[in-house]
Amino acid sequence: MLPETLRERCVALLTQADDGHPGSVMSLVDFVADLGIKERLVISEGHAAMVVYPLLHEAGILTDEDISNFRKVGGRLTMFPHKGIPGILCGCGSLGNGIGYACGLAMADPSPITCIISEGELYEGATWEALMFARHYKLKNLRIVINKNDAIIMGKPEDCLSIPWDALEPFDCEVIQTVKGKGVPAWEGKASSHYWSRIS
Amino acid sequence: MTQQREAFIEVLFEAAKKDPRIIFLSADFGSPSLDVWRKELPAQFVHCGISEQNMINVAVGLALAGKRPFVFAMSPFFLRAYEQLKMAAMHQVPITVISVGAGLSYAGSGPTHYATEDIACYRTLVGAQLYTCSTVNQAKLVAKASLVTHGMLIARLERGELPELYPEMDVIHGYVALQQTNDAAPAIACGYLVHWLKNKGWNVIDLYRIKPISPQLTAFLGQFPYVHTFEEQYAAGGMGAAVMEALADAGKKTLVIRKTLPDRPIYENGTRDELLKAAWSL
Repeated sequence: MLPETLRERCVALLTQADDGHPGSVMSLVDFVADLGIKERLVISEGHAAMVVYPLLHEAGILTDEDISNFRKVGGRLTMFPHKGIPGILCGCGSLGNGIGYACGLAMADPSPITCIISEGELYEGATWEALMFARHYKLKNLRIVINKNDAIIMGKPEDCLSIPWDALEPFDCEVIQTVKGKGVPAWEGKASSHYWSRIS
Repeated sequence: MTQQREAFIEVLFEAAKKDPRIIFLSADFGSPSLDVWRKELPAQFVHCGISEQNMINVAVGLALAGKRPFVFAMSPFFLRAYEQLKMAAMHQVPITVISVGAGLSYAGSGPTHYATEDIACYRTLVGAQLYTCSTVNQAKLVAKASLVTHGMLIARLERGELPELYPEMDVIHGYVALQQTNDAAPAIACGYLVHWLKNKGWNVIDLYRIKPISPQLTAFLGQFPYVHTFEEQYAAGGMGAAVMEALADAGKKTLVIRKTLPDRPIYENGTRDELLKAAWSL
């Protein structure tokens, strides 16, 4: 799916729900549009994980009805995806846990798996536990991607509690530089876009 | 005599030899039977380091991919992974928690090493079954149940060796009534305190499955005007609270007289019995 298309569809979903975490969702659009859903994917930052719904819809895994009932009573699609939703491997939302799930999924099944975590999840001890685990067990089928959009809820990490990026050097993970709220002027580059605000 | 953990692991080991889905994870907590497992079934053993949170999460991932994980650590340290346990239960996958050191098992080590509020925590995990074992044969019974569980099963095991009270057990009733010399109101307990009460001559009910509590038990207890509960837990949400709730939910008027730990830290030195004596001012 083209990033522009995914961006439009995510904006439509967020607007339809009139709620959500647009900054994080939009920051992942480019990467996820490019990655696709051919291989297993865990988005540990659950507040942004709805970004895969349009892709699952396009693949026929989710129905038109699912999309139109996103976050509505009786609809299957929730803000934070969970394993009861077709195409979703596991439920994330509390930070720092998805990467551990991905380690188990990678260990049990040699097929490739990507786990996206947010830079905010680097504050969770469980994330570092999982990084050590993945490194020790040489989980080569596990691709760990850190979404660095330079924003946590109360501002920039360096103004709140700085992240020691150098400490990631021993671990096999990729850091992707993204933009919070990318593509929507009302949200782009704003830490406040972690929470919902209408575009107009 | 043997330790409950040895018996539990031996049951799993025999099954694991035939079932590659069985994976044993340890947070750097061992046992002689686990040494055998590590040597003979290395592909089914995962050392997780002293990382209880990640151990639970890895177990969720393994279970989601079709494995049957068993996580093993000292009882008090599972509570630092409580949120991970909560979400593991929410995933509704077969995960067994083998928690060694129930209650004041690590007597003399202090509050960091006591599991004195874990029953309250575990009871709230959705869909989970909660067991506490008083003997080796009971541990074997729960181990067999864990091999076929569809969801989370928590087995609280005693640290030390305790006398056997039962023949080999095949069917889970959730409790055992150990009738002694009189028809006095029973005392309900689990794990070590079953032995402690039995030795003092009480009519003991060994409540080895705290969640769910058997409806047969509430019907039986409902015949008494009052019953006693004894536990190495703080009062809120503990085993006695579970009994009270079960009786109330069943519409029984039976009064529950609880003996729980006092609402203060247990910093005293001493054996387990000495700690109980101090805690309860016996």
